Amino acid sequence: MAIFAVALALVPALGAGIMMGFATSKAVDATARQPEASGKISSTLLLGLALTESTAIYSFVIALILSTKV
Amino acid sequence: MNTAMTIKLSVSAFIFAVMLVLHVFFKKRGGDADPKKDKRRRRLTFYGMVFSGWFFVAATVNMLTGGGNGLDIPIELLSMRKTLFGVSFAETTLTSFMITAVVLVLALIFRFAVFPKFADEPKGFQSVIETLVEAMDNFVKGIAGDLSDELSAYMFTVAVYLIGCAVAELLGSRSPASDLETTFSMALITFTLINYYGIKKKRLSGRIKSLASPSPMILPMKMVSDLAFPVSLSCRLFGNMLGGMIVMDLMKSALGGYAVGFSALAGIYFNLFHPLIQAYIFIVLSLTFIREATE
Amino acid sequence: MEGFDIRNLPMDLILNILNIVLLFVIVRALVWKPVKKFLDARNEKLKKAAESAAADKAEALETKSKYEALIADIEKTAAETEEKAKKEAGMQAEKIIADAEKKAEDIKSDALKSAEDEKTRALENMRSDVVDLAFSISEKLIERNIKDGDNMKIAEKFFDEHLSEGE
Repeated sequence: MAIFAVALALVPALGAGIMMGFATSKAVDATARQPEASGKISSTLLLGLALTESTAIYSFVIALILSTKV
Repeated sequence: MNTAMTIKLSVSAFIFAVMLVLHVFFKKRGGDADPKKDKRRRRLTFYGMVFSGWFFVAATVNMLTGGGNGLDIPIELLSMRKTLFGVSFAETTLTSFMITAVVLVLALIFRFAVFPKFADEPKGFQSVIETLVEAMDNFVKGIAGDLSDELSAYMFTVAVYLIGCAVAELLGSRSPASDLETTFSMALITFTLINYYGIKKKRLSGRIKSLASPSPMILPMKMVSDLAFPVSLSCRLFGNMLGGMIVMDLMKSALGGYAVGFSALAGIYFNLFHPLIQAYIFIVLSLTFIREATE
Repeated sequence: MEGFDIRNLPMDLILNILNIVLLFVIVRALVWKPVKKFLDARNEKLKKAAESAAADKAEALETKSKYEALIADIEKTAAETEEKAKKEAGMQAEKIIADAEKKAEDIKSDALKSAEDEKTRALENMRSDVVDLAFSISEKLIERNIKDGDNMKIAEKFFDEHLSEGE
C-alpha cells in the first residue's frame, strides 16, 4: 500500500511539468514579440520556473522520504 | 573468472586489435586506392576501435567490481556520519570543510602570486576574475539595490561554494549541496540577511508594518510565509542536487561497468550545468526576497 | 531515514554555518576586496582621465576657436590691406601712366615744335641764303648788261614762288 502513497506523492510533478511548459511557451511568445526584452523575460521566466519547480521538488522529496520509510 | 567474462574480454580485445590494424593499414595505404573511400573506412574502423575499447574497459570494470546493483540503489536523504575526535560529523560537512580548505589555498595563491601581477590592461586570468567580480557586483546591485558590498561578496561566496560542491561531486564524493543540513544552513543565513537588511533599512517597526501592510489580519500569514521561505529555498536546492545525484547513481548502478563514458556525458548536465543553474536560482531568489524586505 | 538523529542537527547546522562564514571571510579578504579595490581604483583613474581629457578638449576647443577668430581677423585685415594696396597701386599706375603719357605728349609736342622751329629757321636761313645766292648770281649775271631793277624783282618773285612751292 505504501508504494501507492509514494506514487501519489509524485502527482504534483505532473502539474509542475505542464505548467512549466506553459510558462516557457508564453516566454517564447513574448521573446518573439519583443526580442529586445529577452533578458528581462528570461530572468523572470527562470524565477517563475524555479518557484514552479519547487512544487515538483517538494513532491520528489516527500516521495523519497516515504519510499525510505517503506 | 567465468567463461562468459573470458569470451567477452577476448572477443572485444580481438575486435579492437583488428580495427587498429585495419585503421593503420588504411592510413598508411597510398597508391591507387580511392582516398574518399579510404577516409570512410578509416572513420569506420576508428568507431569500431572506440566501441570495442569501451566494451573491453567496461567488461574489465565489471569483472573487477562485480558489476552494478541494477536499479536497487540505497537512497540516503542524509549523508553518512563519521566520528572524529568524539564528534559525529556528516560526511558532507567534512567535504564542505575540504572545499573551504581548497578555496583557502587557491585564494592564498591568487592573493600573493597572481594578484600582485595585475596590470591596468586586463588579460587572460585577470580579465576572467575581473569580469566575475564586476558581473556579480552589478548583478547583486541590480536585483537587490545598492545595500552594501558585503552582500555582493556573500553572494560571490555562495557561488564559489556551490561551484566547489559541483566539483566535489564530479570528483566522486557526495555533494554537500545534496545534504539538507547544508542547504538549510545556507537558507538560514539568507533568512538572517533578509531580516537584517529589512530591519536595518526600515527599523523594526517598519519591518513589522510592511509585514502587516494591507491589514493587520495578514500579519500571521506573512510571517508564516517568511518563515517558510528558508525551508522552500533549502528544499529546492537540496531536491535538485539530490535528484541529480540519484539519477547519476541510478545510471552508474544500473549500467555497472558499462557506465564508463556515459556518466561523463550525463555528468556534464547533472553534475555541472544543473548545480550552476541552481546556484543562480538560489542567489536570485535570496536577492529578490532581500529586496522585497527592504522596499 | 536510518542514521538520522535529531541531536546531531544543531551541531551540523552550526558547523555548516561556520564553514560558510569562514569561506565568506576567506573569499572576501583574499579575493573580493583586493579585486574590488583594484577595479574601483582603476575606474576612478579612468574617470579622472576621462574628466581631464574632457577638460583638455574643452580648453583646446576654446583655444582653437580663439585662434580661428584671430586668423579670421587677420585674413580680413589682409584682404582689406590687399584691396587698399591694389586700389592704391592701380591709382598710382594710372597716375604714372597718365604722367608718362603726358610727358610723352610733351616730349612729342616739344620735338615737333623744335623740329618745326628748326625747319622754319632752316627754311629762313635757306631762303636768305638762296636769296643772297640768287642776288649774287643775278648781280653777277645782270651786272654786265642789266641795270634795271625790274629784273631783280622778277627773280625775287620767282624764288619766292619756287620756295613756297617747295615747302
